[in-house]
Amino acid sequence: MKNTAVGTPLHPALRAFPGAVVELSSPDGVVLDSNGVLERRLERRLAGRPLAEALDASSRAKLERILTHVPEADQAPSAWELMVEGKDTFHPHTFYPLRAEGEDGRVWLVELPRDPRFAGMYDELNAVSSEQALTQRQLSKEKARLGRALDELERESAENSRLSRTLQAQNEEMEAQNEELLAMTEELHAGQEQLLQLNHQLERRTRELQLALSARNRFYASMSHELRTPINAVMGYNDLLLASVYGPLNERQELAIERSQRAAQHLRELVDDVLDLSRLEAGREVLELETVEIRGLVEEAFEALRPAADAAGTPLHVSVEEGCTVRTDPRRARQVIAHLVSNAVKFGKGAPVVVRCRRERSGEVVVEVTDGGRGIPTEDLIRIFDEFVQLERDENGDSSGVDGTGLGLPIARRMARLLGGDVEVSSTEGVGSTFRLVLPAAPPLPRIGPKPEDGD
Amino acid sequence: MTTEEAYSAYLAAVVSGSRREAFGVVDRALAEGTELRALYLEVFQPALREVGRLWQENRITVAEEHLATAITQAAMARLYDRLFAAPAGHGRLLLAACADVERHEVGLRMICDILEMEGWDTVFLGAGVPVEALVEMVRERRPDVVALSASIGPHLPRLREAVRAVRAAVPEGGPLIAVGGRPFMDDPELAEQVGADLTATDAAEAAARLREHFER
Repeated sequence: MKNTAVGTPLHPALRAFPGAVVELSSPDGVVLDSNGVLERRLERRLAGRPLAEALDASSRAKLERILTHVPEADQAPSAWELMVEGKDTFHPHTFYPLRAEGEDGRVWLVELPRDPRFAGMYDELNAVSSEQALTQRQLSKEKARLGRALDELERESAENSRLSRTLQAQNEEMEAQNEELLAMTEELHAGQEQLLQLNHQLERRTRELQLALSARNRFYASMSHELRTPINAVMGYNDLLLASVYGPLNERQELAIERSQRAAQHLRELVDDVLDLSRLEAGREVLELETVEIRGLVEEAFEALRPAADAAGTPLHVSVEEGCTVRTDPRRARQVIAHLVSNAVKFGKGAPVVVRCRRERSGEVVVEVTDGGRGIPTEDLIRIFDEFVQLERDENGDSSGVDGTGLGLPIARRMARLLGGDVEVSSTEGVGSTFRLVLPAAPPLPRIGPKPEDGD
Repeated sequence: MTTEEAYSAYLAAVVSGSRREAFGVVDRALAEGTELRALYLEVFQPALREVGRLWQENRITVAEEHLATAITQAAMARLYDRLFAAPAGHGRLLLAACADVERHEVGLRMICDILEMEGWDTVFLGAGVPVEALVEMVRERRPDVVALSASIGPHLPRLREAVRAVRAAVPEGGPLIAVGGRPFMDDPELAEQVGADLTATDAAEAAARLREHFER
């Protein structure tokens, strides 16, 4: 391009130069001519316009300085970087401003030719550097996020292990308690074992006792039975002798037979009592219950004992209050009363025997048999219900005064208990004794099976 | 070492292209208690400004300027572990990109980092982000703010295109659009012309204006 006003065209050598060459008017900076390199690169026209229009603000200031401070032709030029705006402007162009010798109004901007490969490398390095920074930024951010998540996890983990420790402690405590419990259970088992053993021993002992008792009772029963038969025979023959069936007896013979008869009588009573006792002990008694008036029972007992009382010169009295009615086994109750009255007659030595009967508020009926005997010492009161104990005989070794087996009171008490009642005694020495039969309004449920008494 | 001393030492290091010396200055400043924000606003930012001015004065070449920028990017990258270690803040999201042809990214990166210090969640997409990729990202992440930068006037038409595309992608309740870069420093009214909501002349001002906008 040629500026006719100035006249001189761009030197052909500069026109073929590979870098951009721009000819400017000075100092206004209008593009007079160029070799076309810059125009091609930026895809914009420059000629005829001030170059400043194509520059960014900072480059514009630079251009101003170039145009005012262009070195003289004999001075070495310095490089200036100008950002020329156009297509794909990323880098400034590096120009060397030159002043044409003798051409005051013109300045050439000669661009250092750039190797495009270097430009590409430069861009590539730039991109790598910024990519690296970007990646570093993202990595650090992610790392921080992960760090926070990790902290959270650690907190949770710490909390978890704290909980776990607590649980473990509780577990250990529970295990200790468990062991304690186990030990206690073992002790209990041992105790149980011991108890079981004791129980077995007890059962064995009980069985042995029962065997012994029932053996004894069988012995009593069979012996009594075996004894009764000959006694009955003796007594029968004695009766026949006394009735002179075998011829008349003289006075001495009759006396002897009577004595024999009394002895046999005593023997039979003894056997009867033993039989009763063994039956009671065997627990084979079955109660036959009826509603009975006590007065009737007392009178029946008196009737049976009248001969003995008369022989001893003992008056028998009875006094019964209203309502002395119970539900009981009349045969047993009569037997108890008879034993008590018989006892009173035997030990009363002719003093009157009084039977009083009254009803307690509880519904129990009390039958008191009072004698005028010499009474029982306190220390003996507990013994009199033992079998085969007769106080007076014990004391004297002489049974002539008192006729009895020593089984009456034990039998009476056992029978009374069988009926759900009892026999008690109170006594004052020198005044007499009172035996008290207490009977319930009705007996409790019958005892089933043998009840072992105090040993053998 | 005051921040002024750190600035002078750092500037000397980056202008002479000494990466090692520049990192040393940063490490010393940190060791002596200089805060990250002060490093950014009182050391890195003025140093890069000064490098630009030196180029304008024709006292350094663009190669030296780029080297200084690259060193500063690396110096910033070395601080990221420290920067992101702060607990998460309000979590408002800012998406930043140098639209399309733009290659100058360090300024925008600085704004992102400063905002990150103020509790923002920032995603910096870097330089040369194609408009379609930016729009895709906006649709996906729904940021509160989209920040775009341009370093020279010729890039403004492409920036305007990017702003339009973002607005079109989210017609209602779309993000606030902020722009920055050399042209907007010279003429702030350009921001309105390219369709943006706000602009600022430096990182501190950008952070302050965004804070003001969202706390209102």
